[in-house]
Amino acid sequence: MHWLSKKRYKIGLMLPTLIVYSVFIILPIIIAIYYSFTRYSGIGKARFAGLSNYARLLKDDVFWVSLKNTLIIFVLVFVLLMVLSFLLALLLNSKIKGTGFSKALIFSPAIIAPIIVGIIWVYILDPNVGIINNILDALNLGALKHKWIGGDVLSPYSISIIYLWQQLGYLTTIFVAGLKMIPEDVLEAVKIDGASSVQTVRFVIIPMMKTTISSTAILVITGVFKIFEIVQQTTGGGPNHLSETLVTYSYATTFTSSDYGYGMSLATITFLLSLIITGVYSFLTREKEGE
Amino acid sequence: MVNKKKKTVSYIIMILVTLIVVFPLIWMLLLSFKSNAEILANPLSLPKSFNLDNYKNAFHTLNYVQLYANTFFVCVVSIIIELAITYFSSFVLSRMYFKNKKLRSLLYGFLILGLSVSPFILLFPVYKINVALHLREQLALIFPYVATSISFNTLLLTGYLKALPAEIDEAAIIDGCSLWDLMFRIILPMAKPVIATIVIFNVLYIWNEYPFASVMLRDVSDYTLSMGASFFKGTYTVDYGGIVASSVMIIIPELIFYGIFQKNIVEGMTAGAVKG
Amino acid sequence: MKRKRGVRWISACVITTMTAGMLSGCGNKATTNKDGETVITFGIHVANPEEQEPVTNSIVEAFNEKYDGKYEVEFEAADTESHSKNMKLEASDGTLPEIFWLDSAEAPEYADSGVLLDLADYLSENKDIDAALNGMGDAFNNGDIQYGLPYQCNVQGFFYNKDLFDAAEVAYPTNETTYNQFLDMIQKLKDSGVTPIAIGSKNSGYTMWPFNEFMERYGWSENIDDILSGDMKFNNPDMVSCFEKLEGLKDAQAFPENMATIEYFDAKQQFDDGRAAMFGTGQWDCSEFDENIGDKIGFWWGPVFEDSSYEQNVAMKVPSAPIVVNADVGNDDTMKEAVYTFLNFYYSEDAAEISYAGSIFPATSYSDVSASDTQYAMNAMLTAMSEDWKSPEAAPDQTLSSAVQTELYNGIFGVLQGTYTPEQALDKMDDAMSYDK
Repeated sequence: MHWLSKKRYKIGLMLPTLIVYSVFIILPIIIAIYYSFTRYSGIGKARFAGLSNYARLLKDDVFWVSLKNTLIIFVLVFVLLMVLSFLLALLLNSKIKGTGFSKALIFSPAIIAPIIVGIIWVYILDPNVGIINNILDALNLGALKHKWIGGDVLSPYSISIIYLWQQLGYLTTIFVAGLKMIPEDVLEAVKIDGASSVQTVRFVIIPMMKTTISSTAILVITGVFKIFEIVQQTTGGGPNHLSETLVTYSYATTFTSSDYGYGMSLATITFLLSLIITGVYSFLTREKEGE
Repeated sequence: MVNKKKKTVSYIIMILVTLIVVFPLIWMLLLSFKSNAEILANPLSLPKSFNLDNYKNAFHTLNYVQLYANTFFVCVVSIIIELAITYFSSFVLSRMYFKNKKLRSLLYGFLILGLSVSPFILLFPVYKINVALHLREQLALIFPYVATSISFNTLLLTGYLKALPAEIDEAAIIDGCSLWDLMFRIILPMAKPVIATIVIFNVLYIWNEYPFASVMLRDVSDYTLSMGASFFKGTYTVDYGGIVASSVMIIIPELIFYGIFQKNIVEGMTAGAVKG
Repeated sequence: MKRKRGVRWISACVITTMTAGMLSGCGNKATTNKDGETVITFGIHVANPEEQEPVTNSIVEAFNEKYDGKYEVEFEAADTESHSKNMKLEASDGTLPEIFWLDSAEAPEYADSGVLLDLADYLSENKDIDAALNGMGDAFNNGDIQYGLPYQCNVQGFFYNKDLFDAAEVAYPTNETTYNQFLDMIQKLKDSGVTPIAIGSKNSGYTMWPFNEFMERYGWSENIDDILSGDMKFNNPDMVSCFEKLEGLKDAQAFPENMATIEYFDAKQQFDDGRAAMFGTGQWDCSEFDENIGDKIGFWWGPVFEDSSYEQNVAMKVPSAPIVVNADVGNDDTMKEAVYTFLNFYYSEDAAEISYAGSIFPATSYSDVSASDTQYAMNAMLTAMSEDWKSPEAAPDQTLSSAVQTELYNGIFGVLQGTYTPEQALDKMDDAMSYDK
């Protein structure tokens, strides 16, 4: 391979990707960051405004609310999604009948447009017309009724559940694929040695799936910071921005209030935050691999 | 005894989870047979009859042949371009020799960075770039789609290609293979599963994509499927029946497509993301 | 040799796609179609004009028929949000349609950036149209240019269902009904088991129409210039008492429990179905009410406020958003003539008749045009308007920039749902103002 790896081949083969990527991903990010230092209504010329958008951000209650919601969703989704999909993968990888069928069905929400996912869930969670509260009513459990969406508190949790629903099958599929990579004979050997199921998972399966787990984790982290349609469809960020996430708030400021400068500063922060969390995660897991 | 009990519990959990996951979908299908007033007034009731009005209405309002054709076209062209270019770059990153190992991880990290980018930060700048490059109509969509797929494709492709034994290359080179032969005759066939996975995910992504489509397309004759639902919501009126029916129209081909290629997803995942 | 083929193939690929991109961008926007008609593009804020703006669609069809072979108006249609995005983006690259609908809050910025045609000449050349508009266009004159003309005329207030009032044994509201009587009314309606006022807040901040009258009755038009110039704050005693009245409605539980998760459309359906007794909206919903509620519909401007020192006899008959003309049209005489011909038709008596038939008030006021007997909702509005009260130049929410307008909507719904106190809501508007400068 060494002698085929001439510089000009490498450059020639890398170039198309690098060009498209730089022009349509990196350049736009730079443009967006540039606008985050301006006041701009979308029409006419942008005026340079220094750090004022960022100063405003620190004083903006809604920014902190949306940051808090985003972090709630992040923690909840990360923990639940990783654990549940891993457990589900263990279950679906076991030798019982019907797993293939079940796997196919569980994956199906992942193929649906997120905007439609939002529409479906409104009818499940809405405090008045939603299925959940109506079932609770029918069971005489009215006391358990809550404003699952649209209240002051629960919306980010509900949004996490919806996202969990949508992504569960996707991650389970990845984990199932990872489990399939573990050689049968290793598991057999462990079994003969008398390890319990929990021990097998803890000391054999998890260590052997480290890379799967970390690439899955990165997909989850970056995915959470892109949740948009679900919030938009279920609560629209309301009431009064209480269920806003960073992405939806940035969208609302940019396109609804036509405050492009401020909207772009929110978008920049969101992007940086996601980048930092991904970076920290990769750093931590890389250290462990080096053992 | 214990084992049997365990099996039963496993079954129950599996069936329960599957039902919970599938229920909302079935329920949406039921909604699509209800009239708009029925949906608004009594969303929980079952449809009174097997009423196809929403679909008739959707077909009357939208030119589905054109919508499917446009979406299909954008899908195919974007995927061919992105596969070609990311296969090349991933081949370099995963199988070629870098004297400077740091450069390799730097390039890889740079390309993976895009995973963190929400499409909404890109909309406005990309529009301006499209204008500056005179990219219009479908092309205005194809390049952003190609670009946004680069990170995901790189993640999967390099992961997969890296895992193929290096001896393959050496053997091929000794046999007098050119780089071109190596890439296309030898490695490419071996990468089929991961390419299938990439195709599947990108088809689904492009099929569902709304933010870019709504900003970049101006002419109704260029619209893609995901724009369909916007036809049923005006400033003062909404037709939920139409929205649900047009959503089902988007999903059906996806379900068929998924049904056919379902096996490839697991296979490709096994190889791609898993090995990372 | 073979090795080079690969690299060459790649570059060929890239070059082909790039050139294809360049070429396809070179086509100029055609202004005449294959029949030799001058094509006027009309950017409209709904995706499906035939269903969602039927009156405008009919006017355009009538125009195309009348000027067959000469002019053709074609819609560039997208839903409101996309339309607003598209117009901004098109303004930045000079591809705006000849005529387009704009949100009132955004139009002044377009005017300032010089992309809109000054229509003052048009009005002075066409005195009859100027007269028919009867000052409706004043809201779209920034003192410098006449940047737009009213798309339609909006009449806003509360519609009510007489059957539900009868069932609750409540008298219908009148022009003299005070705010306290309004609260009593709400209580009795609630006791009878219906939702007193249907309203939804999800993605529907703009549906605060009935409260425009509240703000006007607390002196909005008189004070807004001082507020916008910074001499006065939104958080002033008048606006605080106004917003306290909104808070009073919340305390009286006038609204649906799930107002946060329902949209305007769901709220309207509650009123259509007879589950809610009142619904605040405008004339655009008339035909829907004729269909669902028929002659049991009533229209009311809203309560009068005894603690306000401002004029209470005001109607909310205001211009809706403006339609504007692309400045480039001024440089092309053929196109200019085409556009002016269209405007003449749009504001003609013929068009006004089409408008009335579709239960929409046109921006023009021709005395011979009226609604038919079965247009119950529209007739209810005409009855309310027969007092000939004065109306503000523009609806209060239409006098603000987008950022402050968003905060107003947010503030009103915040108070209605109890997430903000009146002062908090008004402070937020003041904050938005300060960032807007």
